[in-house]
Amino acid sequence: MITEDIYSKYLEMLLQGSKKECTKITQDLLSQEIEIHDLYVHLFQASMYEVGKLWEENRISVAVEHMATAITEGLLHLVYPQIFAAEHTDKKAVISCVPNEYHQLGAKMVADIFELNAWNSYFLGANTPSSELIRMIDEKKPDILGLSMSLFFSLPHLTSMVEEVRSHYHDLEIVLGGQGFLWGGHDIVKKHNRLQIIGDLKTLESYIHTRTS
Amino acid sequence: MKKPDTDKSVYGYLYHEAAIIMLQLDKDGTVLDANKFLLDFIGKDNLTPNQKFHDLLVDFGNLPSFSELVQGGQSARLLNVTSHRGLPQSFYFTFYEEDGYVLAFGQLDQLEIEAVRNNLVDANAEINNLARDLQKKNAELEQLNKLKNQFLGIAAHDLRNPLGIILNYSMFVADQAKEVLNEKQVKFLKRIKDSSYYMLKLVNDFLDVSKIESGKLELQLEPCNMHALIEQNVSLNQVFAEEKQIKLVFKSKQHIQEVMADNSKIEQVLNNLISNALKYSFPDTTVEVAITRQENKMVISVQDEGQGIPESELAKLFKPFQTTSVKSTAKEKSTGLGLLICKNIVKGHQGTIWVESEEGKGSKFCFSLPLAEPDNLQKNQIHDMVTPDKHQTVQNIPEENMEKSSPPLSSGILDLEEIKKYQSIGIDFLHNLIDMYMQESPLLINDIKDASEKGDYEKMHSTTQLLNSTSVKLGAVQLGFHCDNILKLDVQKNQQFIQESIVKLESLFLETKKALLAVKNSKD
Repeated sequence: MITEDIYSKYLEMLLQGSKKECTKITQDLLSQEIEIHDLYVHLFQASMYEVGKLWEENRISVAVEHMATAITEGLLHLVYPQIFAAEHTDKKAVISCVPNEYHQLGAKMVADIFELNAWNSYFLGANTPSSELIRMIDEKKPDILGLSMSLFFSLPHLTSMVEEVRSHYHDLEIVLGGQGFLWGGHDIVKKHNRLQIIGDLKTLESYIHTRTS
Repeated sequence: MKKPDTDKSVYGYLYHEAAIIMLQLDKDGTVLDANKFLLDFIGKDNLTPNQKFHDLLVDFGNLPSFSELVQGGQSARLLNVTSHRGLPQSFYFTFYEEDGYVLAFGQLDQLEIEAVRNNLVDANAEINNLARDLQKKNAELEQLNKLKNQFLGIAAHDLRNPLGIILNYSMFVADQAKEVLNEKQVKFLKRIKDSSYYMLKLVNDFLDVSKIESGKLELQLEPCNMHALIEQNVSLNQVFAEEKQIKLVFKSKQHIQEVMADNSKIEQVLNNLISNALKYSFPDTTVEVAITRQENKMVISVQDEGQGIPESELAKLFKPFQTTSVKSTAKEKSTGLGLLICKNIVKGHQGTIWVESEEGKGSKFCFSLPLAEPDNLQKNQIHDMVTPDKHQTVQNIPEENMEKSSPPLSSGILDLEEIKKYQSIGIDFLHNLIDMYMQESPLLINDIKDASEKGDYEKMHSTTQLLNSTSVKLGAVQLGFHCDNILKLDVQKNQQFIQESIVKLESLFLETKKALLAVKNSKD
């Protein structure tokens, strides 16, 4: 259970850049057999949303935000043995950032949520060129493609990436997500079939359930 | 002495050299002049005439107005400027108002950057250590996988002989005791026979897979007449086709030159594809085997008019133990390994295997083999062999019949003179041969001696594998000399017994004129 105290302490350590303390808090929670889902949503996602907000409000610098991101991304490793060892179905998802998008943490957590729900997910990191994405889709033949846009400024890249994917794969189901959509870009849903925007990890999980059966 | 013009030097330094943003603006926030650092940072084309200060900033709609910023004066204000790469960087800004102009200075927090740098160095070290760990674990896993294949190979091999015995003796008992057995007992015996046959097939497939997976796919390449090979395999399968009232035809569309291939392995592929097609086809349909030439390769296809395979299941066909929703038409069993073995054999020949299928219309399994002899595919080359075959000499086989590679197989009437040459033979062999022959079952005789004594599993396997599949096709009984528990008979000391047995055998052959397929360990 992530109490208010644990969360505040974690956020404070995250902003100070203390990886050691953050690791300790996460390990303690894992040893109490916390649900991975809770850890992702209520600790990692919640704290990173707050870090993002602090940066947008010019209350912390880019450097601090990057440090917090790097620490959180490192903490995901603590969870991987559990996530990957679980029983998997043969469902597949390819998750990627759009070109020029350097924030990969959100997309990575989305890939992990797929894994947590017994899917095989293949993650392409930050700033992925369209050609590389197409190659991956070709190789893995996923059931779902997930694209992440953290910054609204990446919208033109996202739009052209979706168009390119669609020109190759007419029926591939696409989900879009990321904090960039808080600022707009929702019109894209009207332009394409089998494409939707998913706001957060909780909605993502319900969505995955509808696609698993 | 002249006083140095400090102001000019300081200004010059800030304007041309310093890693600090310096901007001269009017009261409305229009940029009038900027230093070199700012131009370098944002890209000099990104500063246009009459540009506003706010245009340089990352704005989430919550920025104070320019006048508010200026009123804040010299207390540092954190603002984000977009770099020439489009990425934000945080600067601490201070503002000075003078003579109707505003001077703005922006600097990075060097202590913070130092802290981030240290963290990055630590994080990089940690990731590199993790990567090293992963590489090591990967290597260990590969090792474990090899070990698993070895275990699988040993287990499968050791299971095969006892299974062969169960199979043979269940058939033997069923036949010999049919008059005293009731219907139920006959049924039980049939179950024993069917199950042990299936297990034997599974075990043989395991051996193939473990050999292939451990990188020991051994190809004995020799000129191969694909026409003849297909014709032979089609005729072997004709019996089963007729049983199921399926028309099995071979259409050769062009003349195809010989290719370098491992005959027995390619035959295994053909047999697998053809028997699969029969397995999943309904009566009164046709299975067509064809061979065509396409550029520098030959393509062999086996096409049925069966049920077809759903598109979603095509990808898993060539993976181990994958079953599809398609069911065999006469409840034939499948080990789920056949196509995986085919794929690896074809790949070993530098060919490809694929399937085209449409639900309700049928499937077409194809494989291609390169026509020209590739540089790295040379005659008798042994692929990926880890250790050379040290135990090629099989005891008890006359010198002139010895082969350095796995023996070519020939069929025909068993040459009894050959048997006489051997120094020892299995006593059970003669008994069984006589007994089995009396059932009028076709006989398939495997005269490869006990190579397992020498630990030569590879050799035994390559020969017995084809024997097993052939005997199954013919519904024949296979007698193995190499079974560990068969007694060895000294020819010199038991000449009379052997002579008598052979005479009895010969008379049996003459009486029944039943075809006998024998497999000899000789070149001819």
